[in-house]
Amino acid sequence: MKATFRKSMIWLHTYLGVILGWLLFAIFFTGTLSYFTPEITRYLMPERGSISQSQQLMIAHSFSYLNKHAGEAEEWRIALPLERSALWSVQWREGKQRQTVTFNNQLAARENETETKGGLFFRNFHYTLQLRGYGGRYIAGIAAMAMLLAIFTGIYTHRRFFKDFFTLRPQKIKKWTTDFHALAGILTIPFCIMVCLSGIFIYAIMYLPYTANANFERGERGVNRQIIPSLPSLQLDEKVIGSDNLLSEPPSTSTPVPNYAHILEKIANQWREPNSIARITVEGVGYKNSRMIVERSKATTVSNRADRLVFETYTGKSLEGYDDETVPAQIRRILYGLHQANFAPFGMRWLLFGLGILGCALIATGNIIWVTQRKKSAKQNPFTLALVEKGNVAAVAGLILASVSFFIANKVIGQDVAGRAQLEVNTFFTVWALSAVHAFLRIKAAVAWKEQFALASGLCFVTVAIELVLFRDRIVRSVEYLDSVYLSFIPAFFASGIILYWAAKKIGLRITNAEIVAKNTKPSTYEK
Amino acid sequence: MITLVFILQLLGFLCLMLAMNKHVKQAGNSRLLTQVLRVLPSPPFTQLVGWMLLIASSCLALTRIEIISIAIVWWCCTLSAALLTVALYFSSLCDT
Repeated sequence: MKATFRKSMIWLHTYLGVILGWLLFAIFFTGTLSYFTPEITRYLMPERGSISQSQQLMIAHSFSYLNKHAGEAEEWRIALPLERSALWSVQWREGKQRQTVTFNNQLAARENETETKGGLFFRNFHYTLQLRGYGGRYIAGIAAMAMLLAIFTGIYTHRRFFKDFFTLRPQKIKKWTTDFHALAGILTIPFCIMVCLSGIFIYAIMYLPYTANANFERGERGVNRQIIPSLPSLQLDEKVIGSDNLLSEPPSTSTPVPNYAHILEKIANQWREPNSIARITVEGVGYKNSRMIVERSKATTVSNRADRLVFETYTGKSLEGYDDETVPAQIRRILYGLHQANFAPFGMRWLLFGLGILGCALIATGNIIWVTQRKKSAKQNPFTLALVEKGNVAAVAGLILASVSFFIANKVIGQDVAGRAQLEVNTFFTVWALSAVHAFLRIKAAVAWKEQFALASGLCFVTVAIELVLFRDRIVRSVEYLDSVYLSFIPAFFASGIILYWAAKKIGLRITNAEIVAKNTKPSTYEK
Repeated sequence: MITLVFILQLLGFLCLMLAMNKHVKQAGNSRLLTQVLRVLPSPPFTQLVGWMLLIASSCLALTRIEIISIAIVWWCCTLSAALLTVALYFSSLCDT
């Protein structure tokens, strides 16, 4: 314990940052990219062009396809595309086997889809650290708890900043870094508390299993069963015959067609926003008491569970549906929804992305400040200092490099190469490891920073070049269909390239200035 | 609507900063802010205007955006953006 409470807080803030900074940066950076998970997946899959068909037409086509190809299935699912994902698919289940087919804008089933992890790679890495089943989610949870502690202790550490009311002192780089660290901290306080707290809540039962195990029969599953409402199980006995169907036209095939037109009319009166349906599930296909569950899009709710309506499949009659969720379940869903931000419209998504990047900058500047201060005081063990200083390069610049490499790998690995999804992931980790080796081989960390930023900048421009050269047809098609999601990636990479180049240039200038100062001071020392 | 909320927040923070002696010095480097300072009454009143503008922005967001929970998220996001903009603007004045 330190002499004063504030000193203890400063100590805790400093060492939480130094010990967990790299991990937190990786979680924050990949989490920030995850705000655009469906968009990234779409960018990495050339066949995912925009879908401009009306929901009614897509539903009609999906049912007609399922009727033709999956008449004997027990369950059908239709996932309708959002502008973000452009993924329109149907899925059916026969016994334990599930089959999925995706469609394009021309209503044709896509035969070969690009094998890629897409944006899900960053999302999964963000909370499992690619260690699912090996404690990755526990590590991420500990990091989130540490981040919360670091935020609260940071308020004590940087309390002068509140007094000064947000002044950045641009004249001196060290002061500017400290000010920027404090400013980024203040700006992201609500954001960081929200993401850390909601992140912990998502896996709350997993992190604290004892209460669930002590009070519920099947532990976590038992809790979920109790708090998440479900529909009663279906007793399927009687098959539908022609007269049971309210459709004006008798079905041409043996499997009856659901009375979706009537259902859609009912839904249109309740859900007024455009493209309100996200998913349709038909349980007990072909049976009299089959039911259709229609799930609303998440654009109108912060919760990660949107409204659901239940109908009798073949008569279109409304059924009772799901019970209201319990308050704990609602809180958990709202926190989950806030964390994922599926509700966020375009502008808000970019603001959240910006806050995520500020969060990354907060963590990175924290670690840089530690190194700078320790260098100044010359009290730190040189090995530890070099380890943290060079580790910072690998954790920050290396991760950026690795992420851009992931995109390039997706673009240059041939479509027919077996296991290409894994190759993309391997590229990511190989580049990250190489960046660490490079950082530790360089005598001066500043040189490593400069070179890695310059390389990352170059790779961003290479990504743009690859897109312009190899995917010209896709660009033309996207311009024709005004596919803003795909097209926005090109300027985004270009802008990232410029920012990274600017950073590399700034660091380069600092190295040159430092060398000039060193040259000028050396002779005078000898003279003395 | 969100742009209007953002502008109100921006003006609110500007007033709060101009109500502080520390930032009045920085504001002296900007012709525009010098003019604004001439018009503004005493610092406590400027501070009050600043807080009122921030409250007005939250009222506007809550009443004009249909879903309250989404309105709150919008407001928090634009609040950070407004604060960053004002802080960067004042920092740029230190340079000159």
